[in-house]
Amino acid sequence: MTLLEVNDLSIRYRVDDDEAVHAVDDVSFSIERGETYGLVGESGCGKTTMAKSVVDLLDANGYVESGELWFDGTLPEWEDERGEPRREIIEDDRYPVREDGMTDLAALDETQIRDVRWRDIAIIPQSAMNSLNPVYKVGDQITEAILRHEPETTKAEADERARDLLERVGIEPDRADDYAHQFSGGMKQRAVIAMAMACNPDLLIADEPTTALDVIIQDRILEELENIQEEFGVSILVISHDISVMAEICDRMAVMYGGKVMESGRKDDIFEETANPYTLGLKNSFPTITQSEQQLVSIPGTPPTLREPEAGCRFRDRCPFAVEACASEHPPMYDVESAETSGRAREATDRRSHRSACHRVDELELLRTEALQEDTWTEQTIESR
Amino acid sequence: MDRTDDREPLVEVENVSKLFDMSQGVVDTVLGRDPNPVRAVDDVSFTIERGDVVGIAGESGCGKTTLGKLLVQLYEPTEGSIRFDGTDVTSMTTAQEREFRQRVQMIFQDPFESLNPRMTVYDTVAEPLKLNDIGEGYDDRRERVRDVLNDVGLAPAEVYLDSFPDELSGGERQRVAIARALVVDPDFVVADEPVSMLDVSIRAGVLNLMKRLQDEYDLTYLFISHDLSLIRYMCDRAGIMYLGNMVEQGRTDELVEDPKHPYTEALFDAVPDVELGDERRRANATGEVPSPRNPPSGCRYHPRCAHIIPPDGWTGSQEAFRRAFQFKLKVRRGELGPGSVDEGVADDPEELVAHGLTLDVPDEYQSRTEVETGGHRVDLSAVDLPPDARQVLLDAAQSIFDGDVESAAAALDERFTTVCESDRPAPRPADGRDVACHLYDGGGPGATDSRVGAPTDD
Amino acid sequence: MATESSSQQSNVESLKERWRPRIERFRRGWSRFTEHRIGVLGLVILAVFTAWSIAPSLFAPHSTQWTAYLGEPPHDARLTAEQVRSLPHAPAFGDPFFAPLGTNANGNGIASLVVYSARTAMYIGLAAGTLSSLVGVPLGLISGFYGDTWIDETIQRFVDIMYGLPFLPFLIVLVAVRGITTTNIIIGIAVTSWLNNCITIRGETLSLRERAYVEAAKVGGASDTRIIFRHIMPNVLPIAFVFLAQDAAGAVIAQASLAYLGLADFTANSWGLMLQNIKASGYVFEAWWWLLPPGIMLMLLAAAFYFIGFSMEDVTNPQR
Repeated sequence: MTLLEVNDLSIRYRVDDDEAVHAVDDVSFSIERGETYGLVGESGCGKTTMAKSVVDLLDANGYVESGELWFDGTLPEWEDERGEPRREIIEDDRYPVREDGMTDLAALDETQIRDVRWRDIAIIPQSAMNSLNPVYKVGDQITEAILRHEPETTKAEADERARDLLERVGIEPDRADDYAHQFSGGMKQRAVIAMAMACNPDLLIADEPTTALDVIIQDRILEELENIQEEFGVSILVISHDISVMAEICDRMAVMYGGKVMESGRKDDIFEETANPYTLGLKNSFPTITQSEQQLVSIPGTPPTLREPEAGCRFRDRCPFAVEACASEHPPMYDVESAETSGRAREATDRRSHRSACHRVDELELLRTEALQEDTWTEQTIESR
Repeated sequence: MDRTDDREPLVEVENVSKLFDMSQGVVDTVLGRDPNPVRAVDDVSFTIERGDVVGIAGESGCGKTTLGKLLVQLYEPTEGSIRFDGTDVTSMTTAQEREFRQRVQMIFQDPFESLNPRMTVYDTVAEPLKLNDIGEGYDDRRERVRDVLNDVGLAPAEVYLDSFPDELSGGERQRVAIARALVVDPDFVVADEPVSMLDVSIRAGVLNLMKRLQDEYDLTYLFISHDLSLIRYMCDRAGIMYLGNMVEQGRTDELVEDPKHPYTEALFDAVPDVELGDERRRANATGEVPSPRNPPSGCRYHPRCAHIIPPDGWTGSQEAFRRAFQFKLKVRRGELGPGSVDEGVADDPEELVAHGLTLDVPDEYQSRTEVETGGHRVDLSAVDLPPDARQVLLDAAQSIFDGDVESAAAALDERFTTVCESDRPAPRPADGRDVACHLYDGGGPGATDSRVGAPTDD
Repeated sequence: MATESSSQQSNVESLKERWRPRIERFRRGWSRFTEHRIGVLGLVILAVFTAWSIAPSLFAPHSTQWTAYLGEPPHDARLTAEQVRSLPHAPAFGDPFFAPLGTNANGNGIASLVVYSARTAMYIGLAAGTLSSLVGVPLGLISGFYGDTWIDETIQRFVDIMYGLPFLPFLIVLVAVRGITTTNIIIGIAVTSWLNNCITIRGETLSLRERAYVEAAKVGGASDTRIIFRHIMPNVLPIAFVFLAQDAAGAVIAQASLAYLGLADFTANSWGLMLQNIKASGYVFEAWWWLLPPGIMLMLLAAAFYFIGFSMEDVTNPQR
């Protein structure tokens, strides 16, 4: 059951001199109910922008240029008793609701999106520990979140639920009366997770959930996210630059670069049957703790600035496998499996299958073996400094 | 430690401690309070041989950065001695100090901060040359700078020489920092988290560069990082630090595959890994790193340790002791009260004990009841406690309900003692490395006092 | 011979090489500066006054000795009683003489006086500002670098004491005791304005000395002096320049105030002196052409310094 369907989404940031930064370009993927989906990439690849745009938390100069964000849920005022959108809403073209009941979040305005936030989609921002208000008790902050989004609850009920939530994430319910500075770093992170789950959302967006944490605490937070998913059945969208974290918690993922999705599909497919030069390069540059003899290879050059990008594949400058076709247009998402079996590149129709944006997806064997050699990467001439 | 070389070690650190905030304000002195310094580095000893690549790993607050700065003489040790090539660095003549400054260099963590924004790349890299009186004249210096820039991969060097730092990317800046360190042809380089602020795809390039330069320039490295996979990739030997103590040191491969110290084991378990994916075993440790200002007594790691040693004469299981000890800690911290149990059983001491004996560890280390109740309580009958210990726990719970937390804490303190809390373990050789843990110095259960020279702590 | 000139040539070459990046940087800073029209305005005003200071005879219609009806010195006649009664004369363009801003009670042309007085104001402004920086910046650097040690304490206590000194009374006393010369006035102004300089620079230095590049310099073997003046000072200079601009503005106003109080050097023409003269001769409400120009000039010069300082602040601390 699809929970979130991102359709050809493009997000831009307006900068001076009438230029626009193409932060996210023509991105499509989908998240099912109860699954953990990862967006992985380096800084500037657009993953955080993508995540923020789901609940319209973009900076003032950011806007959705085209595309849709279909979500399986709708505004309270458009619902009937069963929680589905009413018939007349669906029929009426003025409302951004589709035949199958999904709502286009990108088409909602500011007041409307507020009803979706927290109730249906909650976000755990980066450095979440700093998002707790220092002058209010932690328990009160959770209670307030509940009351704001479910106004029919009584204060006592909300308080009870807050304590219960804290306990579920491993904090003594008594600590609800403490202030944020009395919590340790890991506990703050857990409290923020509890706050995010306060209204039982369908989707949890975790933006770099483990950065700035010590490794042992990071371990517990990852476990916490897993437990939350088991208990509440919530879907999680994880944003991170750390592929080892992704390897652990995600079911499916998308690798982003320069505002585009380079490869997407099931986690195992991406790691074991890697089908994109960027992903291959990324894998090579991560040391693993398990291997004693490794050969790390870095990708020379720097990520693009995304200001009025040129035509052609975004990774072309740094890719050792670039051919002429790569200069004319950014490759569409080809279906990997069919490329492997039939030897021909065919565009992917199913958003959930293993897809890769590479014109040479029919030569995967060659790409995979060559990518392991250091010379392949270091011997290219990089034009950009 | 491996001492296969007959030559003298390059760097010898002996019982070095560094304390901060030793002085105090007027008010505190008047009120008769003792100063409470931060023991950033506490009684650390190790040696580095020529050509080694040694790593220092640990989480925040463990003192690794302070240790790095001690080695380059940015700080002076409060206690202990540091010897570089035989010379004690704290009592050097001016000439020796000049030599030291040329032979020992440092690479800093933040590429954006470690370059002076008002100096060009040439200025920055040539500065050590000027300070050490190397090079005859401007042209010679410029040539040397050009050479070293080419060595670190910033080619063509001419393009970079006159740029200012804000024109360069993070990876380029870090390479300039490396060039600056290498331009005087040093022997020993301390690298403090050199890649942690760089993009992930750039990191490997800088690391590989450092490896290559080690051969070219005949360098010895001390590599400081919190990223254990990096340590494994770069370093032959490593030391693990926790709250200022060096808890284990030895060959990196052995540390990873067969960790002796419980903290080392937890640390390496906790690292996510692409190969292991979701099969990874989680870290068996409770709680978080406490503040270095108030470290735990005895072995600093004991409140979190999975292998805490029960006292002599403990008839129950080690796990039960661990739980009981955690109970004691919770009471001491004031975390257990009448509100900890459900409303329906508000007065039942058994319920409080069942709740307090839970362990804040990953699911795979919890008992079945714990997992079922979401970490809320254990099955008291299944915990293998000696009967008198159980009674002490129940009595303490009753005291808590009666409002007398102090006597509960006192009783628990008396009953549940451990050598890990009372005595600080000294580093001892075990299986080719040095480990500071009572498990390896004869302090195990049932052993008599065979500890030699282990210092007592208050 | 050939080698000599070629080695000279290469010296010049390498000198040019060394300065090229700084020139490049300056050029970029310049384009940033000119984005602010206010800064450009200030610079224009300053340029005009500088021109007036350097070559006043080019801009002034007459010399300062010129007298209405009589012309330039030497004067072979004397003013008739009727002519005297017509002074100060409103602006006249040709008949009976050319004085675009009129004359004062003595018959001197206001426009000429104003142009010639620019030199005094510029000199005092820049000299006092520079002196203030020369004292305040190094002391601030040293104080900040050795922060929380006896060096810092000593300097700061001294600063605290100096703060207690009320500005104008102190100036008055100083001038009264040591004599009314421009030099004394400059010293007097600098003595009180270096304090703010020192404190702000100290604050900057305190934070800068913790930076990684300072640690890197230490590890490289730099002495304290070298670190302060080679590594930290360049980063502090931008703020110092802003202070220079502000101090200069303050100095201009201070000198004018002193002149107005009759404590300025009578031998040098200055705008403040002109104001004092109009007050002394009692024509304040009658001769607007005499009253307004000096005041406006003072305002423009002070404002020019402030505008430049403002624009420089943005160049050195870009908010973007």
